[in-house]
Amino acid sequence: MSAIVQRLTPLFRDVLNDDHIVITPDSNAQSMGPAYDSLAHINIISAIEQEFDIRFEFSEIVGLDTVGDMIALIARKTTVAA
Amino acid sequence: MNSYSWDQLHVGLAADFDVTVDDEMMARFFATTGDANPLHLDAEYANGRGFRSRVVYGLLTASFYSTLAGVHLPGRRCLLHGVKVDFNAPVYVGDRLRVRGQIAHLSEAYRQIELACDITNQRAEVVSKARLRCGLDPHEERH
Repeated sequence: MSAIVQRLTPLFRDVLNDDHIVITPDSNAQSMGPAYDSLAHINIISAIEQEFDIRFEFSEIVGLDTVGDMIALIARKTTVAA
Repeated sequence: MNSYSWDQLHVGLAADFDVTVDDEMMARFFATTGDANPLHLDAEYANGRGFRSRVVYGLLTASFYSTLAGVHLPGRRCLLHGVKVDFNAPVYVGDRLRVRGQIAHLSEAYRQIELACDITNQRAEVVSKARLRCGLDPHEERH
């Protein structure tokens, strides 16, 4: 499991209130179920910014489809390997 | 009432206010919620549980976080997205509380702020801590 996924997993579990959720690069809003609504998305973006000490522009995140896309974006903005 | 716009907000911006919990607040909270737990209504019962008097409802104390966000920071434009709250010590009727919040994070992408908040009593004891997530109503930006 990549270092980024390891750090993302507790964020998703906290925001989605599900201690058992498993995320992979292929995970997307649909696969994470009804708990992944628009507010959960906003909260996850904010949580990721704080966890990795980065800032997203709206234009960077509007096109993200999967967790893999998010991992690649985080890797570009940090020194953490995807 | 404050009415911060997004451009006026920054990490570290803070607000606070004081409030005293009284019997009328407790009665109104009970009437509204129907929470009849004797810990909040019966001093003798509360004594028996180890408290010096009946304990103020935790969510009555936490309701002041609503005032903090909706009136003080960010104020009028606030859309409260979420609250995570801990109750660290009991509050009693007559306690004078100071409710404080400070912006800990701004998420530009979706214009959400996160406030690190606490409530202390007249003895400077922390009775509650909370993290509040708030958006700003985009329609209100025009006013």
